[in-house]
Amino acid sequence: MILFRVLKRDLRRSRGTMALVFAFVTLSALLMSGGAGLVVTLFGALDALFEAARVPDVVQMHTGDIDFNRLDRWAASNPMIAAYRTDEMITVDGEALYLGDRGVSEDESVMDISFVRQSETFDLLLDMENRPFQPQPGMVGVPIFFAQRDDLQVGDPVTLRTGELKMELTIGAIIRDALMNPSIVHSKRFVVHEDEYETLRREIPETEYLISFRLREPEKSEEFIAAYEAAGLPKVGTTLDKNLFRTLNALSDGIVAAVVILLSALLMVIAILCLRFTILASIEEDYREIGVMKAIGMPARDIRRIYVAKYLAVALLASAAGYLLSLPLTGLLARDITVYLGSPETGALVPVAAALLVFAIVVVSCLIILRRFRRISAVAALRSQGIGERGGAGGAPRLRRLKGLGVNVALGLRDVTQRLRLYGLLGFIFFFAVFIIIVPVHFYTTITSPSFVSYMGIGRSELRIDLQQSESMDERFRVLEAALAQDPEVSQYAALITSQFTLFRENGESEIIILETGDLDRFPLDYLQGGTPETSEEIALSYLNAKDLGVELGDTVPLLVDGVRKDLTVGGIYQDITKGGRTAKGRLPYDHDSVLWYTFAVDLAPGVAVADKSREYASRFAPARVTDLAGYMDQTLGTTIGQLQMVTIVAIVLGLGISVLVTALFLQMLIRKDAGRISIMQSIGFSVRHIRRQYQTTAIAVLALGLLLGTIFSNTLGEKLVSFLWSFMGAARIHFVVAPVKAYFVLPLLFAGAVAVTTRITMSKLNRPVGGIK
Amino acid sequence: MNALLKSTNLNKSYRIDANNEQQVLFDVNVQVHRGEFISVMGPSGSGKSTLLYNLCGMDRRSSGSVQFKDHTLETLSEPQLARVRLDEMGFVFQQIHLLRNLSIMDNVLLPGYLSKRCPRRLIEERAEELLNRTGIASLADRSITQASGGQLQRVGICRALINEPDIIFGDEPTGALNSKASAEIMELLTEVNRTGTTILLVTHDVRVASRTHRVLLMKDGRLVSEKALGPVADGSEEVTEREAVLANWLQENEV
Ligand SMILES: Nc1ncnc2c1ncn2[C@@H]1O[C@H](COP(=O)(O)OP(=O)(O)OP(=O)(O)O)[C@@H](O)[C@H]1O
Ligand SMILES: [Mg+2]
Repeated sequence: MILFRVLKRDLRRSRGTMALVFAFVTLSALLMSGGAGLVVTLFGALDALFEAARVPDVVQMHTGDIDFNRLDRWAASNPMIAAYRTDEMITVDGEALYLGDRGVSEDESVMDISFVRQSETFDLLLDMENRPFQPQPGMVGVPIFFAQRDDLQVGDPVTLRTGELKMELTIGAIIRDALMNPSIVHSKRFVVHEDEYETLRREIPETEYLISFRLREPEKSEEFIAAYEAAGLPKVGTTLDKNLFRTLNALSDGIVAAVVILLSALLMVIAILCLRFTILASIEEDYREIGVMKAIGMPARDIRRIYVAKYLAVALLASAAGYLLSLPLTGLLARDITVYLGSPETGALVPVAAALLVFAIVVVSCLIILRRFRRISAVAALRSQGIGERGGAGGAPRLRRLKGLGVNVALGLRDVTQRLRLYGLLGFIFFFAVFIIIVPVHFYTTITSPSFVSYMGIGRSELRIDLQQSESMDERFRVLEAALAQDPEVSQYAALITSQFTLFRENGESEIIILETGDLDRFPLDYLQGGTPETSEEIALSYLNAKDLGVELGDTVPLLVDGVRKDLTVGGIYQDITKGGRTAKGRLPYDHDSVLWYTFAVDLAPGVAVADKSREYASRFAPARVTDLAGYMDQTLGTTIGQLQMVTIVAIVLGLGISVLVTALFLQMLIRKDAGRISIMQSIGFSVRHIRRQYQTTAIAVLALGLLLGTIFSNTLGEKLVSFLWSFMGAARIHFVVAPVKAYFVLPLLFAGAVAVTTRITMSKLNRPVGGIK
Repeated sequence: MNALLKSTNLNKSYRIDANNEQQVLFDVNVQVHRGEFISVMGPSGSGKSTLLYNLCGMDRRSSGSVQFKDHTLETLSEPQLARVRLDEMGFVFQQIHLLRNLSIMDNVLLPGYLSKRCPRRLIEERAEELLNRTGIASLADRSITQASGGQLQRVGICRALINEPDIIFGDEPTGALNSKASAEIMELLTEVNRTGTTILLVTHDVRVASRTHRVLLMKDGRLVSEKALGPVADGSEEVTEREAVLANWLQENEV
């Protein structure tokens, strides 16, 4: 039976490709199911945790005194509130806290640590079974963040040592805190028993309040926040709502899920390209046979059906395998989720649907590609050699013209121009591989370069000194400023004061923005548009703030200044990824009570060691935080850089891996396709080495094209893509800083090496006597 | 006089599958002298093509030895064999085997360029001269899909001659041509032979064989007989006479 023979031969012939297609589809289904599973787990766990913890809808942090009577009265009269509570938190300095028995304090930790009692009504702190943790005397509940970081277990010791106080506690539970779980939230709550709480309170005067509300209609949180502000209630600190908790909790795992799904899509594209290539190659090889079948009256549908059956089977098997493999993968990816958020009962249906989606897309693509069958005419098929290699020498330059090139190099290059469509696939894969490598590499270079500070809303200075909110903040600010003014080793410094201002929106609602005043000129910032405000009539906004407010350069924004509403002109817009991307700068008189923190930017005299100075100021003015520029960037971007490094490594492995695999596959098919041509050349005296050089030239030429295009697109489109992604974080116009040696020399060399070696290995099959010519 | 090409007890077996081998050549001893024009005849499947490909080093013999000039072919490596074929041998085939992606001129130039023994200028001049001599100069820049079989076989001959080889091997070069085109190709080959190039060709055609100096007869993988005819003198009468002699001889050998 002729159909059966075609199928059998086709399977034997395309074993390599089918294996590759199978692998790509499997991987794609694996990642798609895994990503979907991750999303389902993430949101399932999040819902379960929020439910169990009875998360408040709105939380207002506050430092300073509270008029509880007034707050109670307001809350009682506000119909939006279902329940509310005020929790006191004791702020503990990091250097007083020792976790486990390492004997190292939390001195250097970026986390703000506080001690609290368990709540009775809502905003509960849960143990690892999602039950509210009720500590016994002498017990402490430690946030999961620290438990993960230091591998702490229930039963490990925790010591508090400050002034006279020395308190020994035992870990009674690891705590899930729906508000403050994620590492990007720099506040962490420890739970202790009433007894210990009272002791601590006597010794440590620093407290903070958490005023939390549960609303009757949770979706109206914005309205509620506006009403709260309008009422002039305590609000020295951040205001947060449930959506934000959700976002913060979902952020890092959400990004992982997005990347995984994106990767899956990418692999699917490659799988489909490979499929297209194999299908076209098989059609071409069977062209005559198909023509004969048509000529003897067999309908094209029948012929097509055997191909469809084959690819259907492969796609089905691969998707199923991918789904099965995704089960352990999801477990692995969701490990953090399970630890941080708990394990929900997940819907198993979604990952299955995701795998089915991959299957459907692959099959539909096959059907579209196979439509080509209809176009084969019996006569044309019987008369010609194939559909790919039409005509003869047309289009390419005559060999005679290609002076100065070796014959083999010339033949290799000519081949690229002659069979452009054929090599297009390979070129596209190279392009793709280069793109997915160069973009992260460029971005990595950019984010690790010192000039990245221009995306962080600050000018470039050698040192930064931060004074955080505390009772004595004003006093310490003055002392520090005097010290800086007198220090001969300081060449220049600027004092910057960040405070809260009330801003009116067009609809009459107001909101709080944080605004930096002070010496804005000394360490100038790179502005997207405009420049530093020059008068008290002007304001500069961060990109996200401007976008949120819908204002452009020259527009005005109304601000409450000295108790009076004042229209300020937007004189500059800058990029800032810190503090949620929402900051502002101006030359406004500030209210001492609403100051959030003070910062000094400092440059040192030539020859002064930054590290020494930093250490000196840190010890002289503790607890002021002194960081050099690198340290500041590292603390703010450290995790991002770490993740990016992972992404870059994965991209390099993936890009090179795909290039190598597809090159090998492609050449194998090409050799089969060109068997006639190759044996002719061998018979007239070309050695295997000569022929190998031709294909190597071709592969390298196609690679060069892919590299060129990939590089160009990375630097243009890639930059836009990264800017787009980061515009959500506050940096809308990122310019890549390029490490030319790495990006334009090492990387191409790596690619060229990989491709050359692959060609070499694949072509070693040629190493046998001619034979075929007969 | 030393032979240009000489095989000694040449044996060739093909592996059919894991357990079976088929022997195709049995102890073949051939001597080809410089300037000779030799044809090999024999029934289909008798091993003529196999002999030819073993003599030129495209195929590897199973045992025995092939001596070409001062090369012992079985001792040469693949690149060395390729070099010998490129510089010192020429080939013409029934299916011609030109490269489809090159123009006619480029097909002829290719082995010349690859060889690099002469500057490109000289190769190009020689190619033009060859195309002129074979009467296809006007087709030089055409694609090979735009020429007739007889014309393409001339291209094949030009390509075989471009590096001025010592010997040309032909596997039924006239097999696919009609008698007129076939006669023209034989004319051309005879002329090439007269200028000093040795030729060894496989043929089924008595008329083709009758124009060669010596005819070898193969049967079942063995060289069973040979007939010396000597060079052709000009004149058609003699040609018919040679054909008759040859036909007779073949009959005697039950072919
Ligand atoms: N690669 C091979 N593998 C196995 N057997 C082969 C191979 N090539 C040729 N043969 C066998 O060797 C024998 C001789 O083949 P060869 O092609 O030399 O014959 P021939 O005399 O040229 O025939 P024809 O006149 O039909 O061209 C045949 O029986 C053939 O089946
Ligand atoms: Mg033969």
